[in-house]
Amino acid sequence: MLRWAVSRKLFHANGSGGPGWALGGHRGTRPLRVGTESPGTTLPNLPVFAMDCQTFLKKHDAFVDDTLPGVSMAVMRDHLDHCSRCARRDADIRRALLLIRNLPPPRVSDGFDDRLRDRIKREGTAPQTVSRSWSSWLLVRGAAVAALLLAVAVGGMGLRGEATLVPVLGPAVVTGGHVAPYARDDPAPAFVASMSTGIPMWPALMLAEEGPLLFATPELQAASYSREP
Amino acid sequence: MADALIQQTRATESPSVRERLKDVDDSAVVSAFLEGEERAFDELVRRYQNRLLNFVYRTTGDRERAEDLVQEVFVRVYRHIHRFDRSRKFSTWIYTIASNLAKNELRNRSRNPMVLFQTIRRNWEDDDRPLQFEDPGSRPDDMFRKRQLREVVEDAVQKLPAHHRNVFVLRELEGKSYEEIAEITSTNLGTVKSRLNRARNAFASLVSPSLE
Repeated sequence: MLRWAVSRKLFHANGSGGPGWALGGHRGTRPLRVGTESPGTTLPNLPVFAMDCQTFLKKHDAFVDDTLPGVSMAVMRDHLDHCSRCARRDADIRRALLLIRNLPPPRVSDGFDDRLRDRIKREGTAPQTVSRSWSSWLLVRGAAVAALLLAVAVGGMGLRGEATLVPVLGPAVVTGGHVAPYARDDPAPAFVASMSTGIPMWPALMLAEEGPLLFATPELQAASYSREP
Repeated sequence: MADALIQQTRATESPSVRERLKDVDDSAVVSAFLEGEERAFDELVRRYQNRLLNFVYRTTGDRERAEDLVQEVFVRVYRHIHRFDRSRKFSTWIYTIASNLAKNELRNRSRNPMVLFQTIRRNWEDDDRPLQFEDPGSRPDDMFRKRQLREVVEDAVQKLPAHHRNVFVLRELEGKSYEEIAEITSTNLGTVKSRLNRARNAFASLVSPSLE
């Protein structure tokens, strides 16, 4: 009885009145292999079945919210006519949503306004002002104390001698790693020249010889880096 | 707009001021309040108290605590309304405050099992609550069935994960757009859509067996 009532409500709430909105999952005049379809599969024997279940489920929220374009709505409804599983799912979701949307909203208890007014009178904006001034006071004082401590620390280090201020780093050991060779069979290694842009092509080519040469072949490049001065 | 409203409100009697405030949109009420019309704040409270209570109650599942939190929302609005960017929607702002408070409440509750226990116990003891789902003309078995159904629906909402529930309630009970929900919950649109989809499916799965 209750289910019937909900179904009726749902039927009218949707306003479509099409056969796709009948509830219960058994729908359509065409015989269906009920229970054999699963989401993500299509029914090959139905030529009008233009949407698969996966696409249907992906678009289902927009379908429920009525935000799909008209053509897509029609395709979705068509899918419902031919897929009992999706139709069932659709009906379940719509019924559940209908129930929650019809839950009676709670109302604030008597005296809520008075309690709120009392609290605002009691606290109002004053606590905010007070707390803000306290926080800003603390911030300023804290910054001052930090600056003072920093000054004392730096001064103390200066008194102990300048040598302590200069960090002494250990010697850096550089080892030449193996450069993976490539294009070994390239008879004439290409080179690139770093050159400022924005000038005409011919002067750039003429100046190319003056630019530092960077060979594209890593071996040659490594050789140029390791060249003795 | 707000100036004119203030002029009008100052020139007239108190009841008609309230009546006038009822007819204007939120931004005009906020402007009136910022320009010194205290009654405009009462109008904001009147407009939002039950909506926020519904949202916070469905999100936290605790009726009494929800009312405290709604009070806190209004106190914060009162304190910080001068910071409110009037180019934005007031409803989005106030729901953002409520959403954050509800989220904090849930976080605190998960950290403090005693609070959770007290909430559950209070819900057990809540059997004498008014049966709002019911029509006095209904037969007793219908009334029982409706009450049972209502409990199933409320329980199902509470069983949703908190971040799904938040989005679900904003959409299904408060009718917010996806964009507004994204703003209120500080998430992107894709996350809102995916959470809503999961929440709807989970909710339907929880409720459907009771409808068979």
